[in-house]
This record gives sequence, structure tokens and C-alpha cells, in this order.
Amino acid sequence: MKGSADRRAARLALLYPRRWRREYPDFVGVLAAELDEHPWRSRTDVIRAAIIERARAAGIIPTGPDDRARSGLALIYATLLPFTALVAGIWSQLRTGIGTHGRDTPPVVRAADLLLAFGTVAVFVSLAVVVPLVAAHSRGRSPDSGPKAGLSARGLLRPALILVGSIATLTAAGWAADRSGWYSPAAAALPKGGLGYPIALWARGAIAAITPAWVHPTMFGHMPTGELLASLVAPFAALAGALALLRLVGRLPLRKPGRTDIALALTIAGMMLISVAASVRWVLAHPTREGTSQLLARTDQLAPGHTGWGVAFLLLVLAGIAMIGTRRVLQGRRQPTEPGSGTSLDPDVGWVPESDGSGTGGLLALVLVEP
Amino acid sequence: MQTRPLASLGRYTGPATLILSSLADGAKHGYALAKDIEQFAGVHLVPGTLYAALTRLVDQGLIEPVASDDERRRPYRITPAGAEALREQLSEQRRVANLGLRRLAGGTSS
Repeated sequence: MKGSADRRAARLALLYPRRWRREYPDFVGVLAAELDEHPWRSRTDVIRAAIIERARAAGIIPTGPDDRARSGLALIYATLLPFTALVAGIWSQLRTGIGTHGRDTPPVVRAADLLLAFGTVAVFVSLAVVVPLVAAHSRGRSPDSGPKAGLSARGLLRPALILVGSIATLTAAGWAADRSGWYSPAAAALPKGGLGYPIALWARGAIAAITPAWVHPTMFGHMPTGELLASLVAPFAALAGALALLRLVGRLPLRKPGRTDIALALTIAGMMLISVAASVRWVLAHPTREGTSQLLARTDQLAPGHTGWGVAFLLLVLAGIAMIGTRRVLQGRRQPTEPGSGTSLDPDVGWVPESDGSGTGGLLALVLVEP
Repeated sequence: MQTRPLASLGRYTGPATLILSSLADGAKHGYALAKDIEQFAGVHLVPGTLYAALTRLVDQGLIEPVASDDERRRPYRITPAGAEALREQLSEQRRVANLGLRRLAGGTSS
């Protein structure tokens, strides 16, 4: 019986980051003793605590009051990546009029323009964030004051390799889908040759990952082999790539936020909200052939309404997480620190002690890979 | 006004106070901590919460691990900063407790 509890405890302990397990080697023994007495309470408590610990390890939950602003920046940048990918997907659908017949109607044009503006801003913001960080890192000088100080190249290697693998897999999936002859309205406008072709194939693979066939599985039965393979492989490749990106962001040696960082954070958060509004407006107002709303579009069309709603909801969740990150940056910036204490706070700030952020970063941490 | 180190731990303030109180009379490992706290406070800390609080206390430098030959039983001890933080926290709790008791007794509040 005890051996069984030990094994269960060891399995549960795997939910924690490896580094944490090394620092608290006696945890498994304590948990094993507890599992017999309070099996369910112990399990749920450990799962919750492990999720929070992973988010802390990823740098998106502060390790203390002083780390609040830095972790807020990490949360925003981590959110920006999947948000931009989703926006690109919606934008390509708007531009090609997927499943609808009102491409030139005002709501579509406005939504497409707003999303394009977001994409442009996202690219510039990413450059403004990444270039100084890479430059500082390549000079061997970490600007970080947070838990990722002393970052090693080895720590970046694994997520970087996963990211490259994800890109290669999605490109191959796009190639297979393209050759299969399956018509993808979202990919119809992509270039068919030249320098843009590899990018088009990657986009084709990424688009295969969000096929409405997951909502209407009978579509899988009509797909040729190439498209079917792409549809089945692409979601996992895209997810692995997104998680690797998150890990890379979590390991970036972020500096303590300055005015520029706050401006960037506010820009990202604002653009995200505008993008969500544009997407929702499109979903609500975009007319279909029958004159009904996108919400009521027929299921044999390639963009049924609930797919649009699902994407809009994901965008809203991501934007919400970015808002929390922005709030954390702003509060962290206003929070004066007394030398040596690390916990001295100005009473005017209205500081509410960070519980643990399990409601926000915890969502992301659920799927973070082993550090 | 300063925020007390333990108060900044949010939902882990209570468990952290109990852990520091337990360690105030000597180093203990995780299992002994849980049993001691159950005995003197009547509070049962499940491992996820216990170690989450331990992690935060170590991060803040309020406790520290003690070298041990047995890897499966790593003891922790309170640091001088931890003792000071505990003293502040308990004083504040006593102040609030005294105030509440005086009000219950119909006395004046301060």
C-alpha cells in the first residue's frame, strides 16, 4: 500500500518544474504519507500548487513584490504571440471572404483594416522588445532583475529547437495540404511561388490547424490524404510551437520596465482590445449569402459561426490576460522599494498583495512544457 | 506604513505564519512541520499548500534549508529576517486580537 502511495506521489510531483523538485526532494515523502489520509484534497491542492509553481518558473507570475512589473511584461509579451497568430488567421479569412460573400462590406473592410493595423503594430512592438534584449544578451549582460537572471544559452536551446521543429512540421503539412488539391479559401490568396512560397506553405499548415472540421468531424471523411494529415498534425505542431515561444519569452532576460516598456505594454493592450472589438463586430454584422448573420451561417460553409465566436472568445481571453499583465506593470512601476527589504510599499499605491495569479498565468502554465 | 513581509504573501500569509512559528523553536523537515502545526494550531496543512508556503519563505530569505545527510528529509530553519518578520506579524495579530476583545467587552477602541 505504501509503495503504491509512493508511486502516486512521485507521479503527482512530476507536475512541478524539475528545478523545484530538486530543491524540495522531501516533498514526495510528505505527499505519499498524506495521500492515504486525504487522497482527493491532497491531489487537488498539489495540482493547483504545481500549476502556480510552473507559472512562477516561466516568469509570468511574480516571485515577489519586486518582480511584479517584470512578470507583467513577460505575461504581455507571452500573450502577444498567440494573439497575433489568431489575428493573422482572422485577417486572412476576412481578406479572402471565407465562407461568406460580403468581403467588401463596411464591417469586413473596417475589421480587416484594424486587424492589419494590429499586425503591423505587433511586428514593430516585437522588434522594439526583442532587439534590445538580444543585443544585451549577446553582449553577455543580462538586464534582468528577476528570476531568469544568469540565463544560459542551453536554457534557450530546447524551446528554440521545438520552435524550429514546429515551423518545419507546419510547412511540411502545408505542402501536403497544398498538393492534395483540397480547396482552402483562407489559403487561396497566398502566393504560389517565389520567395513567399515557403511562408505561404507555413501559413497553409497553420490554417489547417484551425479547420472547422474539429467542430464538424464529418468533414474529415471528405478530405484527401494530404489535407487530412495536415489537419491532424498541424494542431499539435502549432501548439508545440506556441508553447516553445511562451517558454522563450518566459526565459527572456527582461529588464525592469521603463517608460518605453509601459508605452509598449499599453499599446499592445489597447490594440488587442480594438482587435477583439473588430472581430466581434465582424462576427455579428457580416452578412452571408442568405442575408443572415455570421452566427447563423450554414454548417456546410467553411467558416461556421461558432468557429468565429470561438476565435473571438480566445482573443478576448488573451486580451484579458494582457490587461492583467499591464495592470501588474503599472502597479509594479509605482511601487517604491526600500533597499534591502524588498517588501516596503507606499500606502498610497493601494497595493493588494499578489495572491498567486493562479487565475491568469495559471491558465498558461497548465500547458507549459518541462523546464 | 510598511507592508509586513508575511502580509505580502497573500493567501500564503496564514500558512507561512504557522510555519515560522513552528520553526521558532528549532529546525524541522516538512513532515515534522505539518505534524507540529497540527498539534499546536489544530490546522492541517496539505502538502501542496505547505510546500508553496515553504517555497515563498525560502525565496524571501525568511527560512533556509539545513544541510542534511538524508536527502528525503531536508530540514528548514528560521533566519534572523524570518524571526523579525514573525515577530512583526504576531505583534500585529495580537494588536488586532486585543482590539477585537476590547470591543467585544464593550471597551473603547484605540
